[in-house]
Amino acid sequence: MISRENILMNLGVPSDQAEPYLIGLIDELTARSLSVCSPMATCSVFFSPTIDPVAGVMAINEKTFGLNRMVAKAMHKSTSIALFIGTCGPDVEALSKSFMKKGEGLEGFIVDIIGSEIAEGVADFIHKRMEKLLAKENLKVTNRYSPGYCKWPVNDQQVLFELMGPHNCGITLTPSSLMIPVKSVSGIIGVGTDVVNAGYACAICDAEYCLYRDKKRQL
Amino acid sequence: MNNDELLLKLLECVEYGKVNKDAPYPPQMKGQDGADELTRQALAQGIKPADILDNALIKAMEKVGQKYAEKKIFVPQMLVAAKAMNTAMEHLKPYFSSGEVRKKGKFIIGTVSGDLHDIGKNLVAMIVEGAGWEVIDLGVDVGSQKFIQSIANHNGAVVGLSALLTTTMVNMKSIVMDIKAKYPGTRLIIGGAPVNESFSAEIGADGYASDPQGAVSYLNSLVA
Ligand code: B12
Repeated sequence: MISRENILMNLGVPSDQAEPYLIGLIDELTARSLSVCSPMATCSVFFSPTIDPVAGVMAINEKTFGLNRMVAKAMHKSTSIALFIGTCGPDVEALSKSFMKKGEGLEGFIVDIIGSEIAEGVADFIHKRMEKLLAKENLKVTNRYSPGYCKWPVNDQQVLFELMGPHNCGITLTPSSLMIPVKSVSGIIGVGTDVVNAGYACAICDAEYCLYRDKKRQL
Repeated sequence: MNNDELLLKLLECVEYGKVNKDAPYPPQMKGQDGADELTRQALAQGIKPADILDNALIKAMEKVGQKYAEKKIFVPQMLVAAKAMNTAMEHLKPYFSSGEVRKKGKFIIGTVSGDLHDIGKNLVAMIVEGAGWEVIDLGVDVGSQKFIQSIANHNGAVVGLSALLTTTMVNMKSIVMDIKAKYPGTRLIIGGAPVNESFSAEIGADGYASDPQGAVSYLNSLVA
């Protein structure tokens, strides 16, 4: 699940120029992080969403998401919507901080990256799992999108968390709508017979001016 | 080793990130004395702390910065070099408090209110510290008051603001305004993936850098 390649990319090291020492350190810290992490995720499926791709909004159980046009368009043909919350848990973050405190910046940096990879891996796991299970019923899934992506305001995390109720993996939101523990991801996945998983998001996003467009990679 | 040889060896240890004798990195220096032992030896041998700082440590970090700019080394090697530098600095601490040697200046850094992303900020803090600055890291979710308080405690410090979200980069503007209103002479540099040079100018900050080395160059230009 955790790829050395990704970690090197996030460290800014071209994979053909990674020193054996660094590779060894990454492997060791990956094993250590995996032994302390507590990955967890929840997912709830809501039927019959109302989606207006022109206005860029979606309503579920009378709660409205300001998805923005691009995300709304991607969700448009969904007959149901899965909301998910996933986390790597607090302990990898704590491990990273403890390295930083000891002045071991490189170790702290690598563990932080691994924590992000685990959080993203949890979201990926849910996405793939859903895709596989639903395929048996001839249903397909869309890309996954998170509040904060592609012009979808991050404060819609509040709506998402309201709808998920107690199924929040113990994650809390700050007033600025960020999740604690930090290494967490939330989002939506559309489900239907006539939807597509278009893969890489920048390719289909119309936010031409986006500062993150094609920068490094999209999560 | 005579004084010059010793300083040269120390420079090499910092440049290549040899922290101490036990450190396994870099493999080609295995078993040799590192920045820790050599700094102690240099002081014992009577080399002036200012000479150690200027002729070995700072020079080494300049070489590191140069190699990074030329893409000969990458962030991990910079971080190991910064660690070797900081290990050596520990031995010079008493001379800093006595005023015999000085750091280049003070740098206050924090991730702005509402934002929790700190890895970029941490990297900048570590590398600026490694370049010979005293760094005061205020952490994440830092508002105007906390910055202002810290400036009050650290006269003349340069301030760095970090933000990773388009929703929190706007908070930079009010923080810059509040700081400039209270301490007009304070120099401010901003960074983080969503911000850029023109945003920096727009909100009245004094500088922008896209990476830690850029932050070091900006800071050094202020004391040059
Ligand atoms: C890793 C990552 C995560 C990780 C970890 C985040 C963390 N805080 O640890 C995980 C997977 C957990 C995550 C989750 C989320 N993320 Co995120 N994440 C990223 C990603 C891919 C990289 C950020 C990073 O760590 N970069 C590496 C560091 C080293 O780089 P850096 O921070 O830019 O810092 C460098 C420079 O900018 C500069 N610098 C930085 N500060 C300063 C300061 C000064 C003074 C100077 C001079 C220079 C400087 O120097 C640094 C070193 O070179 C970015 C996308 C991107 N490409 O940037 C999205 C991104 C920031 N995330 C985003 C979002 C929306 C989220 C979520 C809200 C999504 C969701 N709903 O689940 C959650 C929020 C989590 C939470 N707790 O609430 C969006 C933000 C969009 C926006 N509107 O602003 C981005 C841009 C992704 C996207 N495609 O849209 N995320």
